[in-house]
Amino acid sequence: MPTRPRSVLPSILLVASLLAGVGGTIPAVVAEDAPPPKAPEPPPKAPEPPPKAPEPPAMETPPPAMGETPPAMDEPPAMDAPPAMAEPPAMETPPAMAEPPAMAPDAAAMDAPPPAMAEAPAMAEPPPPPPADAGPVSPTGRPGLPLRYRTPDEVKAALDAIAARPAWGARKARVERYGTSAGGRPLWVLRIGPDAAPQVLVHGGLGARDAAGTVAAIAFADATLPDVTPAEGGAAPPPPDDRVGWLVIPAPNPDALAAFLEGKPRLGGPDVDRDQDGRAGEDGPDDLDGDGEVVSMRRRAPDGPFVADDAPPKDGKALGDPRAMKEAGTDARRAASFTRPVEEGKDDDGDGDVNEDPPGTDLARNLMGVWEEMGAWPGDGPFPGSAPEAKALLDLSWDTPALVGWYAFTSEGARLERASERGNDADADDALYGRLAGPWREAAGGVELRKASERPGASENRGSDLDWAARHLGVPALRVPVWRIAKEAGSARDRHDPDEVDWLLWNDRVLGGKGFVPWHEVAHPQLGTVEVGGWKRFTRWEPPADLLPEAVRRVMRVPSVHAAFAPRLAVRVEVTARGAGLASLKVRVDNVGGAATDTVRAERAARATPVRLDFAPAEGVEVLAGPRSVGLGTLPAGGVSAPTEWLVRRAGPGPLGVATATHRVAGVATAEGRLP
Amino acid sequence: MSRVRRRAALVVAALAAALSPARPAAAEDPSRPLVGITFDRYYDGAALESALKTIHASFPLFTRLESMGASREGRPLWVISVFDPSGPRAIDDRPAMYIDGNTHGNEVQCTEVALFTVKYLLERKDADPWIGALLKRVTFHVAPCVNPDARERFLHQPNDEHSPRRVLRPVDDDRDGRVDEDGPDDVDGDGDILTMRIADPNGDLVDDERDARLMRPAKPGEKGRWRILGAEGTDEDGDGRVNEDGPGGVDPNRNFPCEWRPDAVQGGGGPYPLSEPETRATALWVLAHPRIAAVQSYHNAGRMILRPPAARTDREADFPAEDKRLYDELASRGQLLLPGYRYMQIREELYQVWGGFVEWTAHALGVPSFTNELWGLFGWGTSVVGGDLEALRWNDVALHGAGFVRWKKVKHPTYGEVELGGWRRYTIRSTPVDFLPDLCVRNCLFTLEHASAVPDLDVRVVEQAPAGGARRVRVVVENRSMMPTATAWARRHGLVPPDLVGLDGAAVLAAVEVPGPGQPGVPLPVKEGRARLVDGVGGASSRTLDLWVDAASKPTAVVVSSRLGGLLRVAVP
Repeated sequence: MPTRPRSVLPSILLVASLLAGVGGTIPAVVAEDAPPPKAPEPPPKAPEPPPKAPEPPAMETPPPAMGETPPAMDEPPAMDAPPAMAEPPAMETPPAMAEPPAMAPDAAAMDAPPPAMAEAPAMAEPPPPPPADAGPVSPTGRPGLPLRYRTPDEVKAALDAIAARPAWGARKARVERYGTSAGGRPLWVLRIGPDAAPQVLVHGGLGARDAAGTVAAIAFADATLPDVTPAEGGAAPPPPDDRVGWLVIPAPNPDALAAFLEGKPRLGGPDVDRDQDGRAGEDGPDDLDGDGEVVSMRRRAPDGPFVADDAPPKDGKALGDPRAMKEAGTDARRAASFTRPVEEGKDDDGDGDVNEDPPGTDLARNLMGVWEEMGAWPGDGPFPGSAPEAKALLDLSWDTPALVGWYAFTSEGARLERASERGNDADADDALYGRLAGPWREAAGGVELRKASERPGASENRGSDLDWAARHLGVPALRVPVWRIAKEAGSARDRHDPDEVDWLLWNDRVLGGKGFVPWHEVAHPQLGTVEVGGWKRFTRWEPPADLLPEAVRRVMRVPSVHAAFAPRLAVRVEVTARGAGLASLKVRVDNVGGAATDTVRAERAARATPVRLDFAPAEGVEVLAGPRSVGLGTLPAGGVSAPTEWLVRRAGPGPLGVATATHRVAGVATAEGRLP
Repeated sequence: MSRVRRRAALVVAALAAALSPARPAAAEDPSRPLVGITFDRYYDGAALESALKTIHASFPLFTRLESMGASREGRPLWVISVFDPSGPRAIDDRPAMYIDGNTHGNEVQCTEVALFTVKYLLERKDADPWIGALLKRVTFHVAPCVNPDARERFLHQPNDEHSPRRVLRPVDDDRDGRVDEDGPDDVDGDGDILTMRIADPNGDLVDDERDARLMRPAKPGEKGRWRILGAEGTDEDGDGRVNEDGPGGVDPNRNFPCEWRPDAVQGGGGPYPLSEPETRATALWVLAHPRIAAVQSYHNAGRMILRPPAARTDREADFPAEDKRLYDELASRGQLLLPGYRYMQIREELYQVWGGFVEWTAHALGVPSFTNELWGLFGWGTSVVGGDLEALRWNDVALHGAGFVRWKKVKHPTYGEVELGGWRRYTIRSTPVDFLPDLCVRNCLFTLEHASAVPDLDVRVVEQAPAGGARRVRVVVENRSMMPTATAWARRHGLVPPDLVGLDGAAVLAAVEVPGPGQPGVPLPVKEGRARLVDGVGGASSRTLDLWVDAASKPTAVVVSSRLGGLLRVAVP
């Protein structure tokens, strides 16, 4: 029987792990997600030469960085990588430094051509090279908003700028306030029309360090409603064929975003008394050594459960890295072992525990996901939706009946992740996900898809936004991480996705080793001598500012895939004259869209509504038989309803009436019947 | 033994109060400022507010009046706290009992029972020493109406005994894209929503020979006479159906964050737990008052004393036998006060409730909680088909027939001629006002009994002995009442923090539980200079501890801090 732990400690650790990388999420700990290579080794090779001109992607235009906390979100330690980038045919050139494809308009392209820009114009003359952080260029050649980290105020300004653009076809935008954060900041949603269409929600991350997700959500909105004012002498581009509208929420957790960019990362939302001591949020992480970075902390312990992951190199390639850690297991050769690394911090409230009650609520665990256990709420906060930011998002999405898709841009992750509820109907919509998988992968530049629960080290999350969307709203939901690296050529580890060793090699190669604070001894006020070390901000868990634009460009268009996966109705009327002014109408409704009018999960969640068909007789037409209104149930993509028949009478030729099909998501379609 | 004696004291005091000659019921009698708050009426929002303000103005030192928040339509959710400030501990350091009512809008008498309890406590605290002592030890938080929008409609608009039940979130019940557009209507303008029937030779019902007001199903081969069209109403949205999308759609007693399930599993759960302003405000207020150690949430009807679990059977929940014994004992006292009330486990003996309020208080907060189903002489059905002959007899004798409207012909806009008839309000579910006072006092007394069972902690230093550089301070922590400071369920699920035992003027360095004679001592965890009793203190039991402190320190007081037992500070002699 899964129950709430008797001690609050496990849930505290869970929460701490979000900030600190405890347990499955220690930045410097490698999860064993794949066995070491067993296949015959390739012939020994000389170590890779350093890439040409290691133009260090300098951190000199640093984001307002001061400190760093370990991962937001429930990201695993192990990095998985997109296969397209992960397995370059030849390992001579590290993929991350591959030559930019010749046709790539963007010199900053890192390792993959940008996804096809559907609306990019065929330009006659090459424009001047855009700045490195150039946003999406409009079809008329106008520059988009720069791709850079933005504070909540700057996010609002960006949304206002997009909303001020002229309408493009049915696309026009407005900024609406949908709530207020615990810290008093307004919560903004950018609605991009058409309103009377299926709606797709796109939000930035809910975690403590999802600043890159915020940038991606803005970039998506920017590309969706570009400034199409024609250049001088130019023509306006044709209006797009719009099948969906968008709700874009770049900063659903503005308090955390602001704190992160100020160098004082913390969760958003109200403080929680996790340790039940009558004080809320009183013991969070601290910068022990005053270096401006909150990283990880470990202690030497004879029987500690962790050791340095320092396997000697094999054939000149790294099998481990002394900076990385791994679970000791029964490793007999352990020279030094350590306690489980936790976030850097002291015992602020003097209760003998460190960081057990960090400020704020973990919003990524505060929505209503899948929770069927007895006892108290096992997510963060006292109950689901306890944080005003979480409640506002729950309410906004619940009150959007035409919602058809849910996308969450987050900072870091090796793969796209779809909702992964538990239970015997968790996979009810696998067929739909199967059809979405290809377009998603293509739009993300080849990044693979998995269920969120399949991520190595993933812990169960009862309050996930993906599960809220999939289970309670019945819409497909996808997490789109912005930041990833390719596997490093210098690693001999046989893992499908990049892991901690790849990240450390990348740190040395690209950042000159500056991204990782080496483990060093610090005198701890309560614990004696401890060691502090780990990833700084803007390295491992979110891209350095100069690598942000390309990372965003690669994934920013993923949600636009959904336009092809919305239901759409059409009505067919077949009139048969029966003589003497009598006529019968047979009416069928087609779903000409790319998805069923409701998902299987929407039906099981009792959110589904039937397609409704009404018939309004024209003036002078008498209905002799037939329903006023009929429910046709759910229509699959490409599906046609059974015919509904009306018998009418009319003196002479002319219109008989209008049949109207209506659906909560798919909208309205009409057709007229006429007596010839 | 002391329990027996206190029981006897209760009976004597109650008798004395009941038999004492009534004081003059003059509104101007300054010694009885609440005399105008009577229970021969139902209080609407304005009247309730006025009554609560009168109470607070009359007893400003004994009450606190605040609003937990606002309903969807902006009505205040009043909660009044009642206490005797002269008690030994600060008001918010005492254990508390939370009482609320009218969660379902149509279950109106809950509000009067709750309001009566406030008046009763304040008026009897001096005359009844048992109540006087209780009010010095336990704080009462009473929220008479937690669904004021629906209550107001029940009291002032045409309705039947069952409507409106939920909170008023607009919900598209018939999924036609329009919300709340087709509810019941008072077709004949008589102020009641009745049952509607139509003469139909193909109907499935005939008159019941036992009583012409009732119908019964036609027998095989028997020609039918009537067809029931449902509740009184019209087809406002022209979809061919009547009353299929009435007001409101979330059941507040299915909307709490424990064992919650969505609408697909159980109608009325709402979008997510605490999605409604009423439930969220209630929950946040309860969470902000962690000393609440007992809960009563009144409902109607059916004459029941209900205990959780509400979503699972005892076996499914592995409900602890220790907790069951506690509920059994309290309920058995309730049955003395409430003859005819059945004591039931909700899931096993009534029905399954996901996301109920007392499930949340009992099983997410660890607070022993009851729901009394008030009134309802003949179950909670008001069918016009089949049974309820007893109810009709009672209606004829007690209400002189006024509770049931005999079938009458009415013109209906869609159906033509129909007949209206059936039960009116204030009959079988909601209490006729003449019966309110009896209902109020009996249920009030049960909640006082429940309140008297909350942990009653005492602590004393029994010995101090120097031992080298240290000093051993032996204390006895006693719980003189029935309830443990942590129920077995709360202990299993870690719902309440440990009880803490510390000393003013000295940090506890180590602590040892002193067991019975001949048994070795057991070391106890110590944190922040206080010993931690992880399992709390059981009902009617004590724990003896040796607290080790520095010999140089001078303990001045022993302090016990218990979530449900309160905060207690006793000077060291």
